[in-house]
Amino acid sequence: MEEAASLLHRFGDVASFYAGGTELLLVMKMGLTDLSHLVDLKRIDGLRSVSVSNGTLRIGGAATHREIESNPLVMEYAPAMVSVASRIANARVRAVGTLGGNLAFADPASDPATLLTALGACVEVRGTGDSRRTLPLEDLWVGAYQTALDHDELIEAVTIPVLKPGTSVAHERMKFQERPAITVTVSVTAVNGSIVDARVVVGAVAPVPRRLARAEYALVGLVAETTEAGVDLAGDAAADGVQLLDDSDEAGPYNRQLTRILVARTARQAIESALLV
Amino acid sequence: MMQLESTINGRCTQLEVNDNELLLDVLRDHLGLTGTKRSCEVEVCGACTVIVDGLPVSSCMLLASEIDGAEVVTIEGLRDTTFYERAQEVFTRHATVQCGFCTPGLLLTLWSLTDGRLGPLRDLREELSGNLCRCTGYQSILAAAEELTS
Ligand SMILES: Cc1cc2nc3c(=O)[nH]c(=O)nc-3n(C[C@H](O)[C@H](O)[C@H](O)COP(=O)(O)OP(=O)(O)OC[C@H]3O[C@@H](n4cnc5c(N)ncnc54)[C@H](O)[C@@H]3O)c2cc1C
Ligand code: FES
Ligand code: FES
Repeated sequence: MEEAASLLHRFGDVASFYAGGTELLLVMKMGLTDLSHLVDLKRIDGLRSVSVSNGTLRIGGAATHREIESNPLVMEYAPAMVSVASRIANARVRAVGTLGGNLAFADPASDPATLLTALGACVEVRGTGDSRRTLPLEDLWVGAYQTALDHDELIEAVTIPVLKPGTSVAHERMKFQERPAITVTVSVTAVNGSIVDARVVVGAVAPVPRRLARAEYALVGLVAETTEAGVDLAGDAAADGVQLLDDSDEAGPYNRQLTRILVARTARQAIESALLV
Repeated sequence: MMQLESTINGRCTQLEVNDNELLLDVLRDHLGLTGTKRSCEVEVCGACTVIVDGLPVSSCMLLASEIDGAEVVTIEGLRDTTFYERAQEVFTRHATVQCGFCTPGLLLTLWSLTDGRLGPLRDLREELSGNLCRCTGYQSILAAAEELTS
């Protein structure tokens, strides 16, 4: 890893990390970038491994979507990650595309970025020499296609904390082409038949997936009888609060409506399963 | 230039490729394996599907250098298998082929899903969602696929 980082440091702008190449080769084909060196991360020992320590799941940055969806530890500790990974793109992109590549490319149309923001995940970052840091997912993306990573910093792993007891997670998306037009994750915690904590994250319509505090607030305190009205309020709050990538006269109202419907639907799903147990 | 060695359709093959050459071009232009089709070239349609180490991949977006040491199967490699024999019969019966451009990719994807090669099959529609067909509509494809993977 250190060698990979120092190669990027040495070659500068004409070099890039490279994993599955599903995004990188695409932008190269489109002539959007002129690279002469690709530094392959896939073959670095340990960068694809999955492990658990102290209840925290750790997924290597170069693990492919296919490896994630079929990993028993991920199934046990973060089942939502399995169902998300198994619906990304198509079977061929899943076979080679990696989690680290997805997060580092910062395409707003990312499923894992939305889910991982809701789960309170972090990325472990490695740079040249001994440089290491840990970033909460919320701080990784600073804009569409822009991350807080330096040119020579790579994503070593993603860590996902254990869910609080009583927590249910739902992730929904709509897509009209290959990539999702909107991604929504809702995570709720129920105690004694009532929702005590909620996280609502909306991505893809927004430059960066963000928690929407007012939508979350609308879900806290809900019980079975008030769920229907509550999730609609959360949908309204999300539609109001979301910062859109395209807020033009044509697309803006449509994207807000999409947000309203999908947040309500995802919240209903999460709450129903949280109140069941 | 890079030297590579890989097993292509069961045969050990040595190749010399450019660093930036794509697997699709190598298969079609160097090796004459033209059953692998070129279409969207952006990983959407599945016409260029080949199997690398058991998994379906888009050869239009994979550097040829990636197959060094790997096992590659193209549609030509299925020819003498019992799967292919069955698939021919099932595809014919369900009228799953019109122009046939999507057929090699579809068959390879299905082959990778049979006999538990990729573990238990979760969702056939999802697995096939990346193989587009402009002719037949998807009902006949799904009917044939269900029969072949069951
Ligand atoms: C047709 C299609 C459909 C898609 N649909 C979806 C979808 O439905 N949902 C979704 O979420 N995504 C979707 N994607 C995106 C897909 O998930 C990503 O393409 C994939 O995960 C990127 O991983 P990669 O290894 O191929 O990245 P690469 O292309 O190898 O790299 C992408 C970028 O990340 C950098 N990079 C790679 N790995 C690291 C690392 N460990 N640390 C730092 N930088 C790194 C590279 O330098 C490059 O800039 C789709 C992509 C395609 C092509
Ligand atoms: S040509 Fe490769 S997926 Fe379409
Ligand atoms: S039969 Fe023509 S594209 Fe499928």
